[in-house]
Amino acid sequence: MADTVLLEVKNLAFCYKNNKKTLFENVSFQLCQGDILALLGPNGAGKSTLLDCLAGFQKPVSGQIFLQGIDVYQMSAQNRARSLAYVSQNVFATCPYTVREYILLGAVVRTGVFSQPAKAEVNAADAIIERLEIQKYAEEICSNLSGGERQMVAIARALMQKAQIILLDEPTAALDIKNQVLILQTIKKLKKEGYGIVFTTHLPDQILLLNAKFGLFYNKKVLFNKTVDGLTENLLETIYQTKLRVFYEKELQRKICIIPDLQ
Amino acid sequence: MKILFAGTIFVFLIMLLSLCIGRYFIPPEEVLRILISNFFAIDITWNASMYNVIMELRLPRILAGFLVGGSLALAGAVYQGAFRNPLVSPDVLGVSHGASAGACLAILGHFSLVGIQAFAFIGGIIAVVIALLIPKCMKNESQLLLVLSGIIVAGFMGALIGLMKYMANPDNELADITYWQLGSLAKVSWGNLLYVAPLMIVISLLLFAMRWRMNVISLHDKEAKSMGVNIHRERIGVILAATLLTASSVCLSGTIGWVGLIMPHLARLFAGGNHVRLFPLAFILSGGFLVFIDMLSRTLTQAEIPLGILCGFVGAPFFVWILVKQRRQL
Repeated sequence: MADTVLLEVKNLAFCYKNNKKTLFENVSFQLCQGDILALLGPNGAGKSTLLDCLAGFQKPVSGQIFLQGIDVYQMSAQNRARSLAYVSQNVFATCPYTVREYILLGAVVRTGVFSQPAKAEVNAADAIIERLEIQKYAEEICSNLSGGERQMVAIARALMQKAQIILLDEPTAALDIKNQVLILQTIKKLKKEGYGIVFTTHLPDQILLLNAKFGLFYNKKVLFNKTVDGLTENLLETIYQTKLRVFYEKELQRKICIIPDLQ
Repeated sequence: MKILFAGTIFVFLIMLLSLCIGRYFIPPEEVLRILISNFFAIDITWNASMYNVIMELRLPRILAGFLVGGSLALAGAVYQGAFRNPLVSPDVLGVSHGASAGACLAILGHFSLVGIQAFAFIGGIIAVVIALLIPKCMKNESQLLLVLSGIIVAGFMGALIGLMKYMANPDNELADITYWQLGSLAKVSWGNLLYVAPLMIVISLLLFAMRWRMNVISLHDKEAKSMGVNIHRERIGVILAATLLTASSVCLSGTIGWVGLIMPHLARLFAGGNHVRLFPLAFILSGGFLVFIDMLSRTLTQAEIPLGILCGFVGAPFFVWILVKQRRQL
């Protein structure tokens, strides 16, 4: 079961329409059930654009994307949304619905234009609220939530789509430490439940924490690595042009990545 | 749900009161007996003129008032959701100005009432089609451009109306045009109501059926797209439906400002932002509101006061009150 391929990307390339500048090319990878794939790279390297291509907001110039073996460009938008859910970086700045109502909107992938969601969908939304332990603010208006709460609610809405693949664009950006931990815990929990997760981040240590597979954006290529062993000082320093330390910490019994000093 | 039920009863009472009150008072029990006599044979305790006032004058007018008020608020709620902007009203794409221009043209051409209504409808649709075509030609799907082209079309139609008013005969045509622009239900009869009402009812029911979908349509583009919704197509679809609804209302009653802007806000105070609860409540409350305003317009003074004037007097302070209540959400 663990090896079921959810997402397969072959030779994806993207370039901007206006200046023909290539952002990335020859991107190929597989995402299986229970995989976490972290995308790491400098600002503007194309992390979010790659997610946009996967989610269908942007069209790559070449390459193929398969969702559970089916070519994504042969699928309807609704079918795609049933296999793949996307959570954006700036989650609903304004949203007049309660958390419970908002999460239920994920059922739109199974609901007709002129229909209301079935009772079973309402129960499914309640179950997700319990699973993510967000009952405390389930009746709040979304606009009044804090950043961390919004991110959790957006993830809950993505789960409501019942998609096996979840894309998260910088899920921990602009969150305080407590909420960063909460989001990473949630990602770990979803991995255990068998979801395939792709997320972008600026913090190499998150990859080590999650023991995730990762892709590094460098020089229009994406270097993929299946284990955190590949996350080395040399590699990170080349990519970021910044001094970094990656080493094994005995007490924590894991590798950590830190900025050594400001010289 | 409770508020919807209470609102429905309240609106029903307003409609009943509205049937009784007028230049010629008819007691409520007589009104009820007259209404019932249409379905069951009961003893006649009223005279023929009472029957005529109720059945031929007040009832169609009150039904039209309810339908127009409800439609304008429903269209307003759709627009505010689809544009994700609480300050837009159903005429943001120029439908009211286009309809007025059409009506002016028909008045200058001395068409009958049906002709004027047809011209108003067509004028409204032409205005919106132009407003939708401008962004299309520029291959830009931004909502700002859509609103901007609505303003452009409204401005152009406004100039056209100005020109026609300038050319109109001040003795009769000008008064007719002004009357149309200020809005009134005085000319409603069964004839023209039955002509327009079916379209309004069908579109309202379609939008009601889409009330949950509307919650998704009013999300941010990227969010809605990520859930597999063809957001541009569906948004244009509901905007067109709301525009048809507005154009139908305008051709029954002339242009009535404020209702489509403020009544969705009032309903939102009670029902919240969820369109599932918002749509029915906005329709009911606004329908009742317009019946009430129309009752005032018939009874306050010797001559009828146009609805647009009364709605302005009531609507502007009312809007301030709503803004004060809602200040935290804006």
